[in-house]
Amino acid sequence: MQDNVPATGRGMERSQLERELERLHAESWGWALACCARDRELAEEALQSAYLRILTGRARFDGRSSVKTWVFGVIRRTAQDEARFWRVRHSGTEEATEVADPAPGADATVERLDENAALVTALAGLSPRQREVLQLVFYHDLTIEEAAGVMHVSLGSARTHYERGKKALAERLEERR
Amino acid sequence: MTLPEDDRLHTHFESLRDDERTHVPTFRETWDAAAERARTTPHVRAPIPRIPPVLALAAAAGVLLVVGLVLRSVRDRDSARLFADSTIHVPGVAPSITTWTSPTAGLLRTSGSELLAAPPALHASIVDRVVPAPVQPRGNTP
Repeated sequence: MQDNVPATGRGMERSQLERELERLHAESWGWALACCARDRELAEEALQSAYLRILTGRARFDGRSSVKTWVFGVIRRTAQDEARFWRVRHSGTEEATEVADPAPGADATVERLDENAALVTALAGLSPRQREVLQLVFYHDLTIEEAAGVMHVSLGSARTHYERGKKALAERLEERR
Repeated sequence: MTLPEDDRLHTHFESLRDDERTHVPTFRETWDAAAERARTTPHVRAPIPRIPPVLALAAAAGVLLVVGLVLRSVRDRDSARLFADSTIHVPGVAPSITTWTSPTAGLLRTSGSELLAAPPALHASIVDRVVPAPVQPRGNTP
């Protein structure tokens, strides 16, 4: 997969970096949403702040991982750093699960959105680590090893979170049926 | 090889991803906003430098050492001053035990103590010690 090819050399030209970020933007948006409890406003702010860190050189790509896992790591760290201020400003919105409004009359869409909402709610009930690893593996198609790199945990720990999280999520989804 | 359970989860997450991708803010919009923030806030908060634990410990030990030395020098100076106040100190010569007086001996000196220093002579007044008796002219002696 092209996303997982590590960029060579230390540091990148700004134009090259910009191109990479643009290519990954949709993926980054999904990850920012996951890091911000699916709150669009916070996700936009976090993604913007992550790009700001990259632009100003506070976050540097050192070529030790793929660009995708590096960018995801920056987004995750940024969201965590800003979460302290958000918690104060938006207390009680921990489980914001805003899902797009259904188009009128589209039963299939309504059903799909219900399922998505159920998935988001079930994910919210897991531990943060379990939620993160499942999002990275199933939503972003990363390997468990890459997910461990983004989460800054050992491979063994990521595997444990993955297995337990998967089991817990399946149970929660089953309960809602 | 994937389990049926994994496939189900993949399907769930794909559906969520497709849904969320319909409302992605454009890259240009986000990137330009970040660039604008970088321009308007040129002094971005610098990351706090992390001090290695070894250096932190060494610095703490250094501070303790300096404080200890200062306290010790102050104590030495005070005791030297007390000793100097209580003895006649000749530089280079250690004071004899017989000339030594307690630094607090002055506190035992009370007013009138000289009157009781030695018993008065027979037929003499204790006042004579303080006020000498008037000398009488010889011719008037009976």
